[in-house]
Amino acid sequence: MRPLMTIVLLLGSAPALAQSWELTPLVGYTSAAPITRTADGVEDITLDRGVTVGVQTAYFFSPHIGLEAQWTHQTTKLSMTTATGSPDLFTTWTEEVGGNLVYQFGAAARPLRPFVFGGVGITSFSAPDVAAQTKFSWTVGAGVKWFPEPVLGVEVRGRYKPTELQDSSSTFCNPFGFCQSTLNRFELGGGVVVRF
Amino acid sequence: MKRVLLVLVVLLAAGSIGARADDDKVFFMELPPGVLPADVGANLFAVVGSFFSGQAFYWMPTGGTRNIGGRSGIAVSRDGRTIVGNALDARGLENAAIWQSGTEWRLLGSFSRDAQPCDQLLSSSYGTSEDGRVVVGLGWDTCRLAHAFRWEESTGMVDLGSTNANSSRANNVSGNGQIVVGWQEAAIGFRQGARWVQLRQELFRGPSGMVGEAFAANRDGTIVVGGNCDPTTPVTSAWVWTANQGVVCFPVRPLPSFPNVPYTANMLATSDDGRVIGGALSFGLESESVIWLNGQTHFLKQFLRDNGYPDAFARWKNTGFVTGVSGDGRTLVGYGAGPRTFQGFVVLLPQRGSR
Repeated sequence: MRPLMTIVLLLGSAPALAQSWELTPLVGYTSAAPITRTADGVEDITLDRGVTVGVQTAYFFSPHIGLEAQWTHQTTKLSMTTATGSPDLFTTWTEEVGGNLVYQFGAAARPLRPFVFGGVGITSFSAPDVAAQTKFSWTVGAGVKWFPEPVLGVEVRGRYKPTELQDSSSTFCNPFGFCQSTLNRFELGGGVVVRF
Repeated sequence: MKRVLLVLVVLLAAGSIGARADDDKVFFMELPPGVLPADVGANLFAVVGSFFSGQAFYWMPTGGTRNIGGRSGIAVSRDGRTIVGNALDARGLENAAIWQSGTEWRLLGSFSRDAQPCDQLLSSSYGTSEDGRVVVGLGWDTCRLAHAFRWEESTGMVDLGSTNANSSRANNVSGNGQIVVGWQEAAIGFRQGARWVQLRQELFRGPSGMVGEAFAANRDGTIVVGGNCDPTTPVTSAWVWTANQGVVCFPVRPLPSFPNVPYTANMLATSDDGRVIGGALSFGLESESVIWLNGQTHFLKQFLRDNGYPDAFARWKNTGFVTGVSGDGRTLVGYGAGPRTFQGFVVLLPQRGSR
């Protein structure tokens, strides 16, 4: 903890005008995503909910507007429910990379700053014995940052992050196409924000 | 600082709300009647086989059963993208074939352009490598020549030959496409287990000499499984070959409730590590599925009934064959004589570590 405090104090000595970059290690929780099309006898297929970790960096051009780049990773499972049981089919790794436009409300000096954001990116799915696939994704969301210290704060954010599968007309429902157009997921998360 | 840490702890706690896990249990599911699986890929996302009424299918938990034409579906690549089977050419001759899309198949012909069929058979596929680039099976050139073949794009269909004047057949190929396994007919008509390494044939030897046909190999061909280990003994047995131990027999005794017929024990499919093997105790279609877990023999019906499915295969006439085992040994597919017609099934074993 002592080295971290040293870094924070050093960062805090930077002039206020230079404090336009932010770095945020993220931890969150992504909702389950139901798969709409199922075989006869299969009641439900779901990309399960799970913990998301990642990191984002943001650069603010002005007190209100900035751009952020984000990477998140989620390890989850694809599960199936039938009349005879609910097995996990396989472990899935989801990587998301994207860029967002961010708008922060309120004056720069206020400790509490709500924000909204939206952006585009790609989502990659992979699993053992299944060909990996990368799909276009987009996101919109909102959150709030709280800076009890000038260079250190926390943020909480929620976002809707659909992945465009574009697979609804496919004749071969591959495991990450799911024969549907969109994979709808939500994420609630946050992290410690270091401003410099 | 303390307040920041407190919020972080709350976030971490929220993120750790657990997902459910049923992967420490056995799962059993019947497939629709008339759907007979031969192989499985992509962690159950590509179950491939044939309809009892003919033509190939694939089944997925999302899309269900889809008719993909051809005559039969035989095997699927590990990622589920390449399906191998058999289809008819314009003359109505059966060819080994690779599914393209819809109901279109790429026909593989026989050993040469001039090869002649035996009746309506020009070639038949029996297996594929894990990337789907190698196909093996049986090729014909008139009814006098029936030999094992190995096909890949760069070589076309290669005759693996026979070390005697009799027939041979490739039943499968290792995941890496290098080791072909199958049989060669001995002079007495017995189908003798064989493998082809770099196109060179080697016969498997068991306790009394010949062993029956080889049906499958693991990823690198270091484990080969087959049936009819010791034809001289009254108790039928399947076999596993490894380089270290050679052929090891696994006797399977029919249960008293089984019909009194001369069964043969066959191991038909194996996981990469050989800890999960599927097969059957069969006399034609009078057959009961058998699995070998860590070398222990189980009749599938009893195994399921002991593991949470007391009604497994209720009203089925028999449990048939386990025809496919995934490389990780978790997913098994097969078919048997269901209540109304032949019918497929899927079994998921617990994840390794919880088994």
